[in-house]
Amino acid sequence: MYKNDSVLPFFGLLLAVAFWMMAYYDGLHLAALAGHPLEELSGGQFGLITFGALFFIYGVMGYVSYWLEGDELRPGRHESPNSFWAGVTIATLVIILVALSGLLVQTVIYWANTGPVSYGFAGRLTGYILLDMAAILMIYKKYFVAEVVIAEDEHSEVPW
Amino acid sequence: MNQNIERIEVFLDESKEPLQVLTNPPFKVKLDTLNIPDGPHTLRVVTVFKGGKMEENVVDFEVDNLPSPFIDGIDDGQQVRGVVEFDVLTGDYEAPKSKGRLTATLAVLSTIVVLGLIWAFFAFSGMSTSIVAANAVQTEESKPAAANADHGKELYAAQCASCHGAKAEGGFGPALAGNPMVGEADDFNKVVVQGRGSMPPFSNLSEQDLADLRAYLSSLGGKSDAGAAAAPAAPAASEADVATGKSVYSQQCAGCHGPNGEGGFGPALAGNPLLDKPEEFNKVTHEGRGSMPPFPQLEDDKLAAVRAFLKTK
Amino acid sequence: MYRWFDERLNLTRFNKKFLNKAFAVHHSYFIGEIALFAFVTLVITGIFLTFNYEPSIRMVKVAGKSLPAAYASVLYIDSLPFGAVLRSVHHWSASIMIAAAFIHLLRILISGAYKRPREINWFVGLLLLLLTILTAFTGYSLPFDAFSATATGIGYGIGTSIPYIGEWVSQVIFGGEFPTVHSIPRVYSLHVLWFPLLLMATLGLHMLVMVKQKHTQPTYAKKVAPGRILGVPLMPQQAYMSTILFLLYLAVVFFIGGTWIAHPIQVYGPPTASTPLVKPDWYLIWVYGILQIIPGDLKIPLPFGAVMNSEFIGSVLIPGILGLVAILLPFLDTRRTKMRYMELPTRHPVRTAVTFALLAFLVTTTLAGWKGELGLSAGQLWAIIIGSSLLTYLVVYYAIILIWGRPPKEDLDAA
Repeated sequence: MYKNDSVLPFFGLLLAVAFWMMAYYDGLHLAALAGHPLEELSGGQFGLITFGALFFIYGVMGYVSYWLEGDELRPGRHESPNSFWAGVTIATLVIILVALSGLLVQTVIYWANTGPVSYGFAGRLTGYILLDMAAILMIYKKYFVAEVVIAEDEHSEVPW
Repeated sequence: MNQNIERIEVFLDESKEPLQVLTNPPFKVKLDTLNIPDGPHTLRVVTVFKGGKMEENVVDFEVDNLPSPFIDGIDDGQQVRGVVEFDVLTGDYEAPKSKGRLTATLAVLSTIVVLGLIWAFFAFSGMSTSIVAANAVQTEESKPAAANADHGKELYAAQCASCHGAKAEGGFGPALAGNPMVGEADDFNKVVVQGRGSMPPFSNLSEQDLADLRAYLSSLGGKSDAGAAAAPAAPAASEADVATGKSVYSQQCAGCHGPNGEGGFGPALAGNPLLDKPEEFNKVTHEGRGSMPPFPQLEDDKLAAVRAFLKTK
Repeated sequence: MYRWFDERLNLTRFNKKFLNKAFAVHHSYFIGEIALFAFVTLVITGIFLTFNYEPSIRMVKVAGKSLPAAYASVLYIDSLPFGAVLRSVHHWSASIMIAAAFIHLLRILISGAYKRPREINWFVGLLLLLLTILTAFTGYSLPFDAFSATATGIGYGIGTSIPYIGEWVSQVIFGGEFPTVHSIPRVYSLHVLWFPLLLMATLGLHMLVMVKQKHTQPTYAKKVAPGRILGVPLMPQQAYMSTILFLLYLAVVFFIGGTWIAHPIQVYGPPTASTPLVKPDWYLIWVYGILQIIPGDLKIPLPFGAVMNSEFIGSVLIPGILGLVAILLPFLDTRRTKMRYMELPTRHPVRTAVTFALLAFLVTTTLAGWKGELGLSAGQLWAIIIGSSLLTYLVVYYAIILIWGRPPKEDLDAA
C-alpha cells in the first residue's frame, strides 16, 4: 500500500498457482473417488479456479503496471525511449494477430457450416488473440507513449 | 515565412514590457518558469505586420514547479472551536524514491512454503491415500485377512435384519443378497457408516465388522469379492458377449445413449474412457448418476457384455 | 469532423476538464476494475445469450425427445458457433465478478478506504455485492437443467424461511411455488432486465462518487505532493492501462472458459423427478456449510405465530449480521478530516487480523459444506471454524507486531 511495487502482484501470482494446484489435486481426488470425469468441474473446483484466475489477472496486471508506470510517480513529462526493436516486435505481433484472426474466422465458418469445433480450441484461440492485442498495447505504451504525470488539485471540478 | 512580419512581441501576464522582441526568424522564445511564481499565467504574443497591422494570440498556462504546502487537519468549510491543531505538509517533486522491494530470498521462501503446504496437505491427508487405494491393483493380500462370515451373520442379525430382511432378501430396505454393492468394499462401507436416504448411519461398526458383514452377505449367493476383483482382468470379449451386449444395450440404454452409443440425450458411450474402468462403469449403471436412473437389475456379466459391445463401436 | 463536433459541443473544454483528469496509480485498484470488466463482459455475452434463449418450461420436441424449452434453447446456444464458449465465458465472468467484488471489499477494508468521506461508496459497494450475488443466483436457474432446478429450489426454500414475509418474497421472485410455469419467465426478467439495470445504476453511482472523491492514494504521494492527486491523465495513459487490463481479463476468461465449459448442461440433463442432491455455487457454499452444522430442527417462535427456523438462521440471519457489522463499520471511525491516503495494513494490526480471521471463518464454513465427504461431525466442524478463526487472528496480530513493531499511538486511534 506504500507504493506501486511488485510485492503484492508476486503474491497474487503465487496465490493463483496455489489455487490452481488445489483445484488440480482436488480434481484428481474426485476423479479417483467418484468416477467423476476430469473435465467436469465440481463446485469447489469452480471456486478455486475462479480465485486462481482472479489472482492471476491481478498479479500479471500488477507487474504490467510496475513495468509501465513504475513504483513511484514524479510530476513531469518523461519522453518515451522509442526503441527500434520495440517497433519490430509490434510489427511481428500484428502479423501474428492478423493470422490468428484469420484462423478465428475460419473456425466460425467451419462451425457454422460443417460442425462443432473443440471448445478448448475455440476458447484458447480467442484467448491468444486477446493476449496478443494486450501485448501490442503494452509495448506501444512502454516505448512510444510519453509518460505524463500530473499533480492535480483535489478540488478539481470533475465531475462537479 | 511571411515577409510582411515586422516583429513579434511576447508579453507575460499583464506586464507592459515585452519579455522578448523577435525580429528575425527563427522565432524562438525561451521562458524559464523557475523565475516566475507558481500559478496561472498568461502569455500574450503580439505579431506586428508591416503597415502597422497587429495580430494577438493569448495562451493560458499554469506553472507548477514547487508543490504547494498542504494544510492537514482542517478542511475547507469545516467548523472549529477551541484550540485547533493542524499540520502544514510540504512535498517534494524530486523526492528520492524509497528503497525496499521483494527480495529473491523472500520470494523463493514464500513460494516453497505456500505450494509446499498445499502439496503436503494433499500428500499426507487421507485424500492421497484414497487416491492410491482407488488406483491400486487388488490382490489377495490387500483384502481384509480374516473376513469372518459367522461374526458377520451375528452382526447382521443384530443390526441390519430388521430392515433388510432376515436373509437379506430386502424389506423396508433394499435386498442385500446379490446386491452388487456388496462387492464394492469402499461404497459399501461408506453407505453403512454414513447412511444413505432413509438409512441411518452405523458409525459404530469397525472396518473388520464391515468386512465380516460383506463376507456373510456375499456367502448368500450374491456377487463375491472375488468376482469384483476379477472384473478388471476380464478376458477378451467373445462374439457371444458382443451379441448379448448388443441386445441388452438396445433394450436398456439405446433410448438415451443412441443406438450405436453415439450419444443423444445421454452422453456418448462409444469411445468413452469409462469403458476401460469396469468398476466405475458398473457403479454408474447400478446407482445412476445425474439424470441417469439406476439400473441395479443389470448383473456384472451383462454389463461386461455391454462394454464389449460398446468397445466395437 | 472533430471541428464540427467541437463547435457544437465545446469538446475542447470537455477534454481539458475530463480527459486530463489525474488517476492515482496503484495495482490494488485493479481488483475493482476487474469486477467492472467482468460486468461489461457479462452484459456483452448476455446480449448474445438473450438473442437465443427461450424463457419457458413448456415441453418441446427436439430430435424426437421431449425437453423443456429453456433447456432446449440452451442446447441450441451451445450448438451455435462459439455459443458454448460464450455461455461458458458468461458463467465464469459471473463467478469472477463475485470473487473480484469480494476481494475488492477486503482491499478497501485493510487499507481503511471506507473511512470519511468514502462511507457512501462503502455502502453502495455492499449493495453492489448483494446485487451481484442475486443476479448470479437468478442466472443459475435459467438453463433449467437438473442441477440448476435443484439449486434454485434451495434458494426458494431460503426465501420462504424468512419469518412473516418469506412466502410472499419467494412467490414474488419465482411467480408462485417453484417450479411453476411462471417461474422461469419471471426469474428471466429479473436476471436480464431489472437486476442488470439496478446494477448499472448502482455501478454508475459507485464510480461517480469515486471520481468525485478520488482514490485513497498510495502513501508515498504524501511525500511528493501532499493533498494533491498525483497521477496519470485519463487520456491517454489511464485509458491504455484499462484497455490492457480488459484484454488481459478477456484472454484469461476465454482460455478458462474454453478449456472448462462451465455448467455443461448436456451432462446434467433436464430436471427429473429424482434430481441429484447438489451443493449451491461456491459463493454460497459457506451459507450451505453453516446450514449443515447448525441443528436442522431449530424453531424459535416469534410473535404472531411466525417461527425462525434453522434455514433462516443459517442462511439469512448469520450473513445478515455480517452485513450489518459491515454497514456499521464506517461509524466506528471518528476522524474529523478527509481520508486521503491508504493506511498500511501493518500499522493497523487489529483491523488486519480481524479481516484475516473473517477470511478464515469463510474458508472453514465453506469447508463445512463438505461435511459428509470430510466425515466430520458438526461439533468437530464448529471447533475447527472457531478455532481457526481465533488462531488466524492471533497469528496475524502477533506476526505484525513482531515484524513491523507496534504502531504509533496516532495510528491506533484511527483504527
